[in-house]
Amino acid sequence: MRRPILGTLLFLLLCGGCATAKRTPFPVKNGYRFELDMENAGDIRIIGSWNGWKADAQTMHRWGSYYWLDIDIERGRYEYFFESAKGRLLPPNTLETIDDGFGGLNAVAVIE
Amino acid sequence: MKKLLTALFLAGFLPAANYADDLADIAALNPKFSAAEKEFVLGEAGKMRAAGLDPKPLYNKLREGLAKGAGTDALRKAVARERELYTEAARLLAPVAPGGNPTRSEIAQSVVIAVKRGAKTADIAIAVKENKDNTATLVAVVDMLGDFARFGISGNKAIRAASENLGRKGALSPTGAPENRADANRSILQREIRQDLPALKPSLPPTERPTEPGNPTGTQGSHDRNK
Repeated sequence: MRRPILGTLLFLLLCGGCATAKRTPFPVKNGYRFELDMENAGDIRIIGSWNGWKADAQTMHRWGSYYWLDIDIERGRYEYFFESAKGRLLPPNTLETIDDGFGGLNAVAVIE
Repeated sequence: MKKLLTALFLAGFLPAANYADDLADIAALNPKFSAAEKEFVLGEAGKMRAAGLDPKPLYNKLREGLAKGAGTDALRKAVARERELYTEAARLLAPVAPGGNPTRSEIAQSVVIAVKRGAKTADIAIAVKENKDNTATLVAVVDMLGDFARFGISGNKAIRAASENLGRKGALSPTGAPENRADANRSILQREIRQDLPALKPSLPPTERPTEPGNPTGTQGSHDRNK
């Protein structure tokens, strides 16, 4: 009986606000959580308009195939993408994507 | 008189100097960024300023392209496209009086985002005409036109829906803060998360089921381990 409880606690610890919002990013205690589920992707960085598209700024935390990063950003509409050794990635559960003007797409995050 | 001339000179010169510094920073971080490209971007920035807009979006587009490893042609094309979108937005915003809050650059940014999301410039022009004296409302209507465009709604239908939605939301309230039930719920949710209130913590499954008369083990249905 103890194992399912430990599993639930671990899930709640890792997943934070998953139960209340399924789109990424969603609000958590210390900002907004960006997440991604990706097998064998190595390190993943998140690059977005909130920090001037700095390519080396934010590496995501990892637990198995689950990647996450909590970012404290101000209200606004931002564009972003994930980058791994495999190339550029977009979260499948993003609210919206938009043409980036370079022949690709950016994910859109609306912070309210 | 001398002081006034100095002030006027600085007012005209300093912003341009700041943008040049901005671009110098970008160039310093990216050795491949050549002098010719710098000239090109400065030229586009000049066109933005001539349209009464802040050229920052061009620098952001440039940074984005460099972060993505875009080549020279792609960078030029993207920056030029961004400048075209903004100057078109400035043209649409001509009936709006300069100054105020939100600024013209901020309204133009809303227009550009809406166009990128598929809103039609004709619809935006109507929205500008109807809300030229209330820029906060104009930004809200333009944002909604972008929302509707994503779902293929445009023209009169979109404009009418945006106005009706604004009426319901109370975006025209004196505080200028758009509020509806969804906004209120969202802000409550965020506040509760920040305060770590127990209401948001899902309760753990009970370890033992309560016993009932005639069922002393507390088991039921197909989960009955004694079956």
